[in-house]
Amino acid sequence: MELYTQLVVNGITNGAVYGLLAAGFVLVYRASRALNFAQAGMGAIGAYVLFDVMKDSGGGGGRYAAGFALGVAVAALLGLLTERLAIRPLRRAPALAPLISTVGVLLLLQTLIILRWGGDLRSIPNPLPKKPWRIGSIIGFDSVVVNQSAVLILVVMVVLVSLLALVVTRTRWGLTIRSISDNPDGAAGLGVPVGRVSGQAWALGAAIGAVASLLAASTTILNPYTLFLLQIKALVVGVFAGLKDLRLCLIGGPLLGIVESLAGSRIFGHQIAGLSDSVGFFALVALLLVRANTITETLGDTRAS
Amino acid sequence: MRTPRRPRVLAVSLLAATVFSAACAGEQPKKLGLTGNAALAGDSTLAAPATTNSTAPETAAQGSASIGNGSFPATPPATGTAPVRQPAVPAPPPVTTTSGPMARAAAGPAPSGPATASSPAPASGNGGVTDIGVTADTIKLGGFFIESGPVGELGITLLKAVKAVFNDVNAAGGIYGRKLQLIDCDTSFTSGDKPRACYTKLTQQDKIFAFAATGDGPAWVTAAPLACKDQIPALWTDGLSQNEFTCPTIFPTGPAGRSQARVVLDYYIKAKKPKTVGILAQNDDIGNEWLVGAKEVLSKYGVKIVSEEKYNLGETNFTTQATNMRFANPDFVFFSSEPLGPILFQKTAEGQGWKPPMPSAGVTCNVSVWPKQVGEYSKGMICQNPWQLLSAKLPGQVEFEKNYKKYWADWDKRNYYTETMWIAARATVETLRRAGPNLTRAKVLEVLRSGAFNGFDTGFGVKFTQQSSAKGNLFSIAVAVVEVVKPSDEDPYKLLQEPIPDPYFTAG
Repeated sequence: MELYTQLVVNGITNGAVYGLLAAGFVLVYRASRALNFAQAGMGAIGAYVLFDVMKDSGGGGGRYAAGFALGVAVAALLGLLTERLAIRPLRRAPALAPLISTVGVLLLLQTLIILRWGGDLRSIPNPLPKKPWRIGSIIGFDSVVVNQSAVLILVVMVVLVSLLALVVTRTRWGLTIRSISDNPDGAAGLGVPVGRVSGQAWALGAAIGAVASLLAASTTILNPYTLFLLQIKALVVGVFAGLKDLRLCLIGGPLLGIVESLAGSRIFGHQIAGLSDSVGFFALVALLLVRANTITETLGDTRAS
Repeated sequence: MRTPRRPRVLAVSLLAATVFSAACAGEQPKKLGLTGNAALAGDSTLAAPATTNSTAPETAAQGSASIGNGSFPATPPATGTAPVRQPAVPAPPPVTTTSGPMARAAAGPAPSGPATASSPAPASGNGGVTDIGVTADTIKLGGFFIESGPVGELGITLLKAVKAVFNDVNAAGGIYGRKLQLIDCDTSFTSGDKPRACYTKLTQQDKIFAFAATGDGPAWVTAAPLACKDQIPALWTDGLSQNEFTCPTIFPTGPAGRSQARVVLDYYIKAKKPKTVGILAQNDDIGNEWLVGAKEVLSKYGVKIVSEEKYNLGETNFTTQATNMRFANPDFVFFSSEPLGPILFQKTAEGQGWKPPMPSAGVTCNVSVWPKQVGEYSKGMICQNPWQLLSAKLPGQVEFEKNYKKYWADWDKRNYYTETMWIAARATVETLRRAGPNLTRAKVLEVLRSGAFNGFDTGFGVKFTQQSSAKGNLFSIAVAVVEVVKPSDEDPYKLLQEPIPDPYFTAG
């Protein structure tokens, strides 16, 4: 029981990153009807910028904060540029075109990373707390721990996604996002600056994704490949949220994390290597079947526009 | 007006994605400094280091150098387990190194004559086309290399080490007037489809003379049976796969994965007397190589496996494996793997406040990137190394450093497999030279089976011990045990046990 409690705790903290990435993903989708597969690449570039700032340093707090802000800003700029150059010209194209375009941008960013930074493993010196809290001791499970950095990421996720959900549901800017989401042509006809709002959403979505990527890279290892797998998991959570409801990202991320964590254990008596990482794909298929109506409606809207 | 525009936009998007994909595949080697050379990722022909920028590698110095010989004992000692036949080929021309290996490398301009390890063509010519892949001017050699994927950045140094050796030989005139042409094929540290496709390409399309100095162990799990069946010589492979030790036409340079695991665990269990172990193993053919050797030793000493966690190459989340292992509470954790997975595992274990002893086989803490990335947590880690540590500054090691740095700027990325492939390249050159000007596959195999390489000094504190057996001529290779003592240092290791032959090794 103690082991499974630990696995659930692991899942919740791992899933915080998925939830945060998914929030950016959903925001962008709502504003432009494009699945931004390049988001992980934007976050990865931001993480490498942070690495450049922090390398050969002692991991000081001030420098880390500045590097973090710069990394997020660079990712936001990439989001803005992608929207302007690779998405806006495709506004009238079939739904598949912007999707392919973001895959192209992702490959371009990955290539840029390899050209600029190479394929080496990197550690980002950082001031994030590394010690574990023995949270299980409260209920007599002394072995159950949670890393302080993981708690920090969870808190950041809850705060940022909640704020974003509030912004989208309670502000004028959020109203324009929703109007674009519901009927882009109608919104444009009513004078909503569709292009500008879409660009802002792309920048914000990329920035939120970058926060997740930078935190994940700071607590593990940075290389050109590891962050990209997170994008698939963000897609799973995004679909769980119906590509619409940001609040569901708060639940979907940790939920996927728990499923992954338990899938990697011997919960059914056998361990299957790789199941932990691939369970997300199964979840995606299951979600697409369960939420088929929502997704079809959304894609149908796009085709109609 | 919208309808006609859609296909065009889609086509442009597809084209862009294709171009980006191509860029991803093609640009990486440029960063790695290969574009300046004639040899590029994929098919490539090794050119001599030229005096113009168009063909010189990124850090190539002008001039050439000798690949020092002097590696053979005057009389090969008969230390094999079975009778060793005397060489049936003519003795090679004497080596004329006068002031130490690579002595001329630092001397400045290229010498006009051939370097010492190269052999001039006989006055009567070299026989022209003498076998598949051999012409009057070239010897076409093929190899599997790690040029992409999660360990691509480390793996590419293996190819570079081979090129550094071959470049010098070509600059000095080649072997009996023939230049070495290396065709590399990227197998990305995998077994299965990629090496199978590379094998077919190299043997049927490129029609190589032999595999040479070829450094991707997992690829040889798949390719060794194919090469063995087709009787294509494989000169000085890296040795990681056990398959390389069970074929009479394949000649490994370094120790098999299972030998690495056996020597490390034998040392560790004798020293610490643990009762239980947790294992983190790469879930593929090569991970299994280390695992087989590890389990032999664990079984011998009665050490119980309380947790065996497997992971797929490229997996990024190790919280479950670290948690399972921590709750099983083993006396030590054994890694049987490439470096990326265990580095992430250690980071996770550190986050859970857990640090068991961690001896390992495989490409682990003996790759200097490991201690640097894991930091202080890696202090005390124990791992294997096939050769003496570079800090010993043995003649071959000094020569290796000079030769590598002459062509490439990423000396900090070399690892023990880079050393292995540099040794393999030198052994390849020596093999071809000993086979004489009338080069055939049969002659090469004759040289290698003759016992001529028994006692071959790698220059890294280890000599080959050739053991003839029913299955062919095998080489039992030594394994050293090292410990990480100063993770942030350029040389973070301490030698715990000198390189010794694998005590469990049998010639088969």
